[in-house]
Amino acid sequence: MMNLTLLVWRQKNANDKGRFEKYEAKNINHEMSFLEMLDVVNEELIKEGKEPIAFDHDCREGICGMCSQVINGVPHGPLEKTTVCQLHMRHFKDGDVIYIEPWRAKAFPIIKDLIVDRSALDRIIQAGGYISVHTGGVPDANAILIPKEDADAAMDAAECIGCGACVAACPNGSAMLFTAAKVMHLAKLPQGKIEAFRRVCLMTEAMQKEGFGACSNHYECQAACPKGIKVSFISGLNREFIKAQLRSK
Amino acid sequence: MSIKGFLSNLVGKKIVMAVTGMFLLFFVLVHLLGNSSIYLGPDGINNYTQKLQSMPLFVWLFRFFMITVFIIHVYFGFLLYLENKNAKPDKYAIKKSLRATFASKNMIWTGLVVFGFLLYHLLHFTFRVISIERLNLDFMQRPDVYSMVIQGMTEVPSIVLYFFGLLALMFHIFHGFQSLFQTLGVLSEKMHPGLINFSKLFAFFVFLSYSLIPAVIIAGILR
Repeated sequence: MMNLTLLVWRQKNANDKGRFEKYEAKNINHEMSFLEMLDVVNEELIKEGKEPIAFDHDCREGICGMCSQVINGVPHGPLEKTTVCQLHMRHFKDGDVIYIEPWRAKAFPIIKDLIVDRSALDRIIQAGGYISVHTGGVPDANAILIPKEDADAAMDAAECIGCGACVAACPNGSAMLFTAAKVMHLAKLPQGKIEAFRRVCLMTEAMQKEGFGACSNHYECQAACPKGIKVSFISGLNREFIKAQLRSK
Repeated sequence: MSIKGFLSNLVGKKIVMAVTGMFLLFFVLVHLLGNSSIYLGPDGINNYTQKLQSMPLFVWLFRFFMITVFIIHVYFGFLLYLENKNAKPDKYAIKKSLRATFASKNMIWTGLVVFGFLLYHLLHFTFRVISIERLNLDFMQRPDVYSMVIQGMTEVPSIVLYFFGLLALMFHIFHGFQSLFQTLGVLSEKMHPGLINFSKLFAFFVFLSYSLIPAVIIAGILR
């Protein structure tokens, strides 16, 4: 059992200025997840007749990409390749002071407390993160030959859960790692190659339109990504973009 | 995509930074090579200057090209700096840097110091309005750049300014060198850690080899 001091960002809505509020989290079991710890704090707040802390969560098994908190200055907290829901309290010590903030970026307006609007990422996908050519029915196994390295790379890129930690970590609020993962996931596969050039242009344009910054190669995103998406995919996106320029007339 | 579309795309702008940065890096190396002729004594650097002065068309085309590249690099640097700042209006109360370095976070500032240093350097040795009044001719009727540099590098304020200018250039290259490969899409996952180390080494090499010239002058090896 441990006792913690939390400094949580509270903000009524997008127009509210927002501020940190201090809470004591008492009798926290070290087997709890970070979100379960917040559940306990919220139950206490409700008992006291206070407004509970609003935070995003869904699957609580590290695959949905909903939980989004900057814990002591690191998106998803101090553990590498871990979402907040999979971060357990055993990684904290009794008496720790923990700062909890929402993702901060112009493209992610705060809805309430720790919840931000991440629909800008959906609109980047809508701009071109799909395949619209007819690819026919399910092909027979090995009918379409894909080199092992390409299949592996596409799967690595597809690991992105769209949580937005890359944007939260980036000093420029750039969604390059997210966009690169989506672009490269499809560009590595034969079905995706057909629209690859159009896709990279449309998706980077959409990213800019949504108010995300450009990539300055700080590589903060890779370190913050709970799925370990590599910045080499950003290099890949840049390569696809250059190829698209050389092809287009 | 049209030229306008390319230049307004945020990846397009980064590519402009990378390509112009690459030319500026080439210049840093060519200039270093030219400066190194000072180690051969007056015969080295004065001959080199005379040679350059005998082909004004080439020199002016080269200068025009470098100035254009420089202006584009500075313009897009500022543009990206402002756009990126705008994309992150609210700061965290606590933010840990996981991978970002002093160099990567201060490109705009090290760039500005290099810009200021470049202006000083031009006023000092090219236009000679700071301390050196005119460029004399040596006994073989060549412009005596050798004596000018020796004189220029014995003034304490100049030496201090050169040191800080070169230090800023080192940090700028430290991030910029590996960054240009990433932006031009030639970095693979395997090459990445190696190139980051090489980038540091390369930046340090540039700093050391440029600093060596004032160092040997101060030490009295060249006089």
